[in-house]
Amino acid sequence: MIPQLSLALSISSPHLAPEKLDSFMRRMLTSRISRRVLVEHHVALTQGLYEQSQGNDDSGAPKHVGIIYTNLTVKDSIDKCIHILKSEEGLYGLRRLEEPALRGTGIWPEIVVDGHLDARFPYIKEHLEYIIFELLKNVRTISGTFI
Amino acid sequence: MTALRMKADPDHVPGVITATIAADEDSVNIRISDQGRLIYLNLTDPQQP
Repeated sequence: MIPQLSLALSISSPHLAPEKLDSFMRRMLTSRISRRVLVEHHVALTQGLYEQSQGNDDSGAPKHVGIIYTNLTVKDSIDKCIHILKSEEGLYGLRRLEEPALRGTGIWPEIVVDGHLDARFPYIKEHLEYIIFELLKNVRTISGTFI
Repeated sequence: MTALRMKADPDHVPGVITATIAADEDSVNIRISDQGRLIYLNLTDPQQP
């Protein structure tokens, strides 16, 4: 859906002011994400209730209410994103070759995670990991270009 | 709830990406530095819906 939305905005751009397009895009995405969160949360809560009723309550599993993890470790999410990015290095390497502006040496930049490494907070795990993954992917592409 | 900001980083180390987690009782922030840019991800920004 996102590519279709981008195409529609691109086609509409000669006819609408940039701020109106921006406002439409923001409202559209916010609305879409909100509905998805509500549905996923409802499904996860229902699933949890069902598993409880079946006696499948796994006390060792990470604590969550629906899709909200109540004790999410930030460092674990960052490490997971770094691992996924590194495991997909071949894919990104190929993409860089296709885009002359993004050609780099292929050398992985060093990624240091520091600060409050044991920080935990309640959040939607998938959303946090999506945000961090996209940020690190951008940063990694730029780093690969300049190394 | 979540906010993203970016500014220049005059102290960057080339070829090194740093992800710094900063947390207190009220907020959790992640700062990513890379190639002269500092990206601030505020995960508990009360100013954002």
